[in-house]
Amino acid sequence: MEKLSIVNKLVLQGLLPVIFFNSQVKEKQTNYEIKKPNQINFSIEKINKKYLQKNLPDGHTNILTSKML
Amino acid sequence: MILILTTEEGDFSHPKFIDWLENLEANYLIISGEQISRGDVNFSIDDKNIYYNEINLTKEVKCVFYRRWFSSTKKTFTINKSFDNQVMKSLYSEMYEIRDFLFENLPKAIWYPSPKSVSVNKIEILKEAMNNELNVPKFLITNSKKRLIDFYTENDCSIITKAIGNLRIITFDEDTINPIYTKQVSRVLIDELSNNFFPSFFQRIIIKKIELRVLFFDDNFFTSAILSQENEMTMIDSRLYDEEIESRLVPYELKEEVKFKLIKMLKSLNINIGCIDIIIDEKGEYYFLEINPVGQISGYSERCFLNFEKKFIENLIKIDNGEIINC
Repeated sequence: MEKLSIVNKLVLQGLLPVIFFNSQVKEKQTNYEIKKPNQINFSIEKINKKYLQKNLPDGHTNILTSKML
Repeated sequence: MILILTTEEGDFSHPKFIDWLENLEANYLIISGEQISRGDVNFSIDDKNIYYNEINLTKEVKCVFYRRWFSSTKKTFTINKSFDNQVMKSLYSEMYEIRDFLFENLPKAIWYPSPKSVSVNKIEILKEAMNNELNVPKFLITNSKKRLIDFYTENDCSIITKAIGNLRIITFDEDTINPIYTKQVSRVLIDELSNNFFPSFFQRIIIKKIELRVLFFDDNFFTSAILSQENEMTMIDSRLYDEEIESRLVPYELKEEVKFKLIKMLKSLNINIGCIDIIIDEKGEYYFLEINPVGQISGYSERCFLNFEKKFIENLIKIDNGEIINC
């Protein structure tokens, strides 16, 4: 709430656009969690399995990264 | 070859496209800015060609699907945060120079979205929509409290504010401040503003019956209707939903007359892919709100069975096979 009131004050002082007033304040997400392919659709699980066999490093379980290796 | 440019930061729309590229056995390659910056692959540009490992992109790439490029997420290089921030900004700028060069230097490639439309001006889009006889809710960009009060009164004390362009999420210590959601503006807030404030975008509220999210590429439209009026939270911005009660989505067929006007507008703006936001008021009038050339796609496509990803990838494959020469 304290951060929100600082932002609101900056809007009222004319230093930030009005859209910032009462903006959503959320805890920073440090690890971007990309949905695992098998949570997304029907065939990606099969495709991913093929790439997962290549011993992907920790945290690189998405199809994008696996295709790049 | 089909080239996909993206970022590892997270783009929730890309996996389904990649799934269809695999499924339809397309000849494709994915490059992210991070992959090049880390040196995971060899990437070179000389006076004639652009190379990715042994692949000559200049000669091979027939179409490009651009889904962002390089993450601006802060990284730790040293124990000095200020130094790290400056390094990151510098790297970001350098990586975007490379992207801009790619935009102009893959001579055989058809781009989705076309490079010029990636950072298209949102006010220019509204003006072009009006030029093509689409209804646009009255809007005002101003830094003047007096002008804002007049606009508020002229529009039945019912206006919203949103970003003029694409404001970024701001990091504040361990929190983020997110200014992307459209908000209603009250008279109390206006009264509290100083006589002159930072230039901001305001627009008349149209009481909507249905909200449409129109996914498109070239002249192909795939529309979902968002029943955002069923929930008080989503009435002003359908993205601000209660996690337990998401808005219902149903497939929707646009009127031919609206499609015709949209096609004319998109051609004049050189926009060949993206998401269009439209609302329909209680009298059945369509109102154009905005276009996002690199918007989120898969949620709408999946929930409404629009199959956008498959049809788009089939189109890319036709381009790659020389069946479509120019869009």
